Amino acid sequence: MIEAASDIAREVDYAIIVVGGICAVFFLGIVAFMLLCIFKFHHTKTTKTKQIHGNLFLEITWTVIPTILVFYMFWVGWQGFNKIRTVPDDHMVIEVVAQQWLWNLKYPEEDIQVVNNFHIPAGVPVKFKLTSLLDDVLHSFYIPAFRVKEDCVPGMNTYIWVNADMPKNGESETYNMFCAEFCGKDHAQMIGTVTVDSPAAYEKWVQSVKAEANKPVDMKLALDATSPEVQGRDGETLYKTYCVSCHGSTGMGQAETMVPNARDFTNLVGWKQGNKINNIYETLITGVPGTEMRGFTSLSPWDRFAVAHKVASFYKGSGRQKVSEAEAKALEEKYKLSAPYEPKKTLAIDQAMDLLLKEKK
Amino acid sequence: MNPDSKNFYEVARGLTSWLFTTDHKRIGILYLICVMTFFVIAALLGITIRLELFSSNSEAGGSLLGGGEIYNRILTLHGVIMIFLFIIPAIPGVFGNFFLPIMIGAEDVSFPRINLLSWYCYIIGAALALFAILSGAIDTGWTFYVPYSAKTGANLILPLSAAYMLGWSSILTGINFIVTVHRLRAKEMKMFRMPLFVWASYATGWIQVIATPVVGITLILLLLERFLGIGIFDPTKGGDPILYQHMFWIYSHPAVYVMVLPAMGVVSEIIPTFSRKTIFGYSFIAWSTMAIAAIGSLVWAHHMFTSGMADESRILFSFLTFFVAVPSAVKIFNWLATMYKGSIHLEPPMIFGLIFVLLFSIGGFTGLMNGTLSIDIHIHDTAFVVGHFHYTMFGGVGVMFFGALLYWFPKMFGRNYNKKIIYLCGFLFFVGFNMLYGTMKWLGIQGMPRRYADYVPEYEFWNRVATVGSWVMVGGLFLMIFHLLYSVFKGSKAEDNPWEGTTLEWQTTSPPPLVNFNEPPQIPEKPYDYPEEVKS
Repeated sequence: MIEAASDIAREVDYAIIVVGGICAVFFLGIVAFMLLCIFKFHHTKTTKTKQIHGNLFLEITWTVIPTILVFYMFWVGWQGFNKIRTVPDDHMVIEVVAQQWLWNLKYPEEDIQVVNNFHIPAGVPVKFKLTSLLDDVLHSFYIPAFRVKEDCVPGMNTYIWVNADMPKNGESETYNMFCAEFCGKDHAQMIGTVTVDSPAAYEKWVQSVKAEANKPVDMKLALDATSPEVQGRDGETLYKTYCVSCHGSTGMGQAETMVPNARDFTNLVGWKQGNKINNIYETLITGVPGTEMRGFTSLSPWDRFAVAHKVASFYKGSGRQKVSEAEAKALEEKYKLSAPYEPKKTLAIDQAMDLLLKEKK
Repeated sequence: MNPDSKNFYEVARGLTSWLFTTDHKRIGILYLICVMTFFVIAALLGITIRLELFSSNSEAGGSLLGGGEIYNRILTLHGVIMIFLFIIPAIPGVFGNFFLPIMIGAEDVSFPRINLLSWYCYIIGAALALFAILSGAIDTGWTFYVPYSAKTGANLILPLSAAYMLGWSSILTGINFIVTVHRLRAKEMKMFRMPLFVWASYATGWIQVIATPVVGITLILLLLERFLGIGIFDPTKGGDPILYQHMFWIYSHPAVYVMVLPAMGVVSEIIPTFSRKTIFGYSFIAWSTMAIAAIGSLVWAHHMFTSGMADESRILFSFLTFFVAVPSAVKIFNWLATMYKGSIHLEPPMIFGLIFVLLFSIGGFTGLMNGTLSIDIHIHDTAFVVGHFHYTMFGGVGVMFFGALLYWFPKMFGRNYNKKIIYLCGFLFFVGFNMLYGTMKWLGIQGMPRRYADYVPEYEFWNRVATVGSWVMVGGLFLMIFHLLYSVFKGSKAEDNPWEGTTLEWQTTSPPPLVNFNEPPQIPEKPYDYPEEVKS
């Protein structure tokens, strides 16, 4: 059995053992009786048969007993299900928005967002509010270690919740997270990880994500693909996470991945929103309207530049124009790239509702 | 009996004598050729899927099919062919057509021309389905869930039209069976004297007639959405993707009973015959068949326990689902009781009958785990469900299709096959089957999702076991198919009643004459009536 990392996971395992156990006993009974008949009543050992047409008492017995047992199984499942669906009041919220083929996770209380790989604190009930982008497809958020899954449906909100055990090493432990509802080409690559942290480790992680997301940008270094700030980013992995499904590992787009109309990065012809680094940067925020290309708001500015440079690197010629000073300035001002971090002064609607309810109590 | 009378193969020759035949036996043979061809193709596709899953390294260029896109298309083809072109029509189309009229002492079905029309509907539907999948490069899996399917080339309308056409084939066969059972029984053949295979085909007919129109309704809703822009399933138009899942399963869940009930009917023939004993609890088996048909129509949403459907619905459908288990259990117990104090002959059909009982029991028991709400939240959409489904549909229906073929082979073709080869095939099949699908269940409990072209390295060992199992299983199956094909032409001449069967088809010649009986058959008071003294 894979590791069970919450009370609910252990309860599901218990249900598997109870229901599976009852079934196993019955199955062994069936096998034993069948073998007995085969050996005892084999035609080489029999001279007489007994033509029995039926027995009402037996029929009633083997109707009533299974009926009682399946009632019991239903009850076991129902009890567990109620726990799976009842979120404790003192929970924190993570908003999950699935898209082909990655997971966006927003932490409204912490004001951070990450992709695919995320952390949760141990011992705190976490409610995942699930949905898919409106024009996307069905996905299903599944963490085997917690034994829970629920579909992400476009235009609809669903949820699951978990309360993870304290990691055995006292610090952090990582589990797989899968997409379980068929969603197309890279369904099997739509995998993430959940890391369960001790409260201290969790706080540390939140701070590091926050610092990273809000690190002011120096435009001159950001536009230079060879600067240590850009080189220090793992553009390769970022490209794999966000781009490779449609544009391929050689950047050839449709020719490599069979995704219709996916842009070929190895030439400069026909880029709808321009092919300079600042254009690519902006496209990574806005997407290309009317196409499958989406904006990736969860990228931090520095990471977004790293992805833009990675995309640009597939074109080997020298025809790509440099970003002018004015264009760089315009981009910087539009997205306030060099401004220092200021904590948000807004509340998510749900948080506000919760606070109001608490006050009322 | 007149030895000079021509059998139904000899009365006419040539291709047109087959393509324009209205003889139920010939239509059965036409179905047999088609479903066997599709089965072999789809089994090869299944093997390809398992080959891709042998290793977990598609990142490193180790992917056999070059990634998810091709894998998904193969997966879709495998599912669509197996479900719509093999399992649904297999037993009713082949053995229902061939034997239902004979077993009730009739000369043909009530509407022989409509019977031929149903075969043409099947052929047109099959052509449409293959055209839709191959031309539109459809990679949605056999369930065609929206919104993903709405984004594919053929926009669902073509594949659903195919399902609709195949549905017509199903409905026409169903109506034919219902009317034939009510109108054409021989004089002394009362309803409760009918063989249980006839009961099963009759119940199946009702499900086909009642459930299949839902496919047509879904198609109309889709057309309204596409051409009038009414938001029904598409969330960007205000529609609800979960509604599509309801529509799909309202038909497709009863469809699994369309598949499995005839298989259960065949088991109810085989076990008494090879135990030389009357069936235990005849009327309970007959009524449990009708009960499964009725309750089975009310459980469809158990496919949707994690879909986002309301919690109350999930609880209700879990509750209803458990009730289907009861009549199925009743059948298993009655079959076992039939063997008790009999005289058991382990001929090849009996071996397949017993394999059915074992594999279908496992399928049923794991179905109980799926029905248990809290467990299903974990194992839904994992390899466990794929394993469960193959235990019931392949270990159940597929095995019994071959069991029925082995049982009635001497009657249909007037030839014998080599029993030793079939024993070997049965053994290989059983071992390979459990290696393949038993392992999938284990992988599912470990959390491996289904329809994955690739997986995390933790799952590699068991996936390799499963892939090796698939070779063993298909090896056994293909050997059997080739041997049976060989025996159709080269087997030794078969007797009229090689298994000492008591139902009417064993009273006529092998193969039967055009009008089924040269002399009016004797209708026994009980369908499975054996003397207490057995021949030594």
